[in-house]
Amino acid sequence: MVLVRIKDHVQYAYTYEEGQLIFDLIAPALARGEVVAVSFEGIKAVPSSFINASLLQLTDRFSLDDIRSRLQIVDSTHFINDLIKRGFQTASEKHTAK
Amino acid sequence: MALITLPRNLNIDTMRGVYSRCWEAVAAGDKILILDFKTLHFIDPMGTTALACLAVGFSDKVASVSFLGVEGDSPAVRYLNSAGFFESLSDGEEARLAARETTIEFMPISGTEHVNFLHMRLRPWIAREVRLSSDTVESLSACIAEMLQNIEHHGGALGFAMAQHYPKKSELRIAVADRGLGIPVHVRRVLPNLKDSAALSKACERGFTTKTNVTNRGYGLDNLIRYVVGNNGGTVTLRSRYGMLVARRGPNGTFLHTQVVDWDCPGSAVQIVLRTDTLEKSDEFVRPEVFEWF
Repeated sequence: MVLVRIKDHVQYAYTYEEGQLIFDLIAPALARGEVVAVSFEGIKAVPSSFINASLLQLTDRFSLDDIRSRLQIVDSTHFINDLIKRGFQTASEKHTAK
Repeated sequence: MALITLPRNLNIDTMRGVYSRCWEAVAAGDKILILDFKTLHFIDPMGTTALACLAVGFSDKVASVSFLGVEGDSPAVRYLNSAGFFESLSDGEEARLAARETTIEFMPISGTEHVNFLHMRLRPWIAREVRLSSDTVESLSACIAEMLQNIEHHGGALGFAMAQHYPKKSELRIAVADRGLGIPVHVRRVLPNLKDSAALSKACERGFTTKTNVTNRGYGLDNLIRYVVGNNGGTVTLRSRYGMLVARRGPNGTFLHTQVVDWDCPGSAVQIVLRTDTLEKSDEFVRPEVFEWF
């Protein structure tokens, strides 16, 4: 398993660019077939642009089933979980509607 | 040269008269606009940021925009002076009054400057002024980020931010305005037939994106409204081109009221009004929670 602790890599977890740094750590590991745990330790809330880049962008490369089975979110809060879940749910609905 | 007298109470609604008089003067061939502050008695954060956009915008269209009456003693002039408004926008050398604790300094923001503005200035000011827990400040900051990042992503070269605490009313107002093309213009690239007010409503719909850049997946305004209206019971006002949208709590949850306005507000202007007496309940938002896939 690959552990990506966000605070080890970015200052605020605020911008799309910071999210892209995290995406660049997650996506190759998922592509290798590994399980990835993303830790939000020390972070209570993030804006949508960070989630867009770091996590939702994964839907452009991987199926939702694949993401669900091999991406874990740990040390998070209700705020962060809600943002992630609503983002993936909307992405899933859009995919189904296509 | 045209003298534009500002109204007694300047907000996003009364900006209409200011814009029309400026346009009329420019159409008549005036190359110098003088904004007269002598009659101004009250201005809110959204009015302040919109006025800044007007001054900078018309400076690009005519020879110059200058200010009159900025040495006056009216409450609004003293307020703008202490907030650094005149210092930021004019070449004059008026003596600046001491900053007020209840006001965040008026701030022109370009490019990625919103990152430092939020983390180095706005966050510490909110924590100190409204006396919120660090958890609440963190969730509130994520919400404010949805407004500020709009300047970088859609606002063109420059935007403005302003925040004001009204302790007696238990209100915190934060306004951001930019000089971009405006939300309806972006929305119509995908849905060409929408009027401006309907376009604003569409822009608030979860997951709707114009894909103007890779960062946009259509969650920002929805998140902002969920936090401010759904969680806090505050209001979100969005004004862009000929459209206006106000999100507030109704009997059946969040209610979006849209209307067509008869004057063109260039770019986009957003103001959130937060109830400081219910803000600490936002702690509930950031409680630790185990993530489970749906």
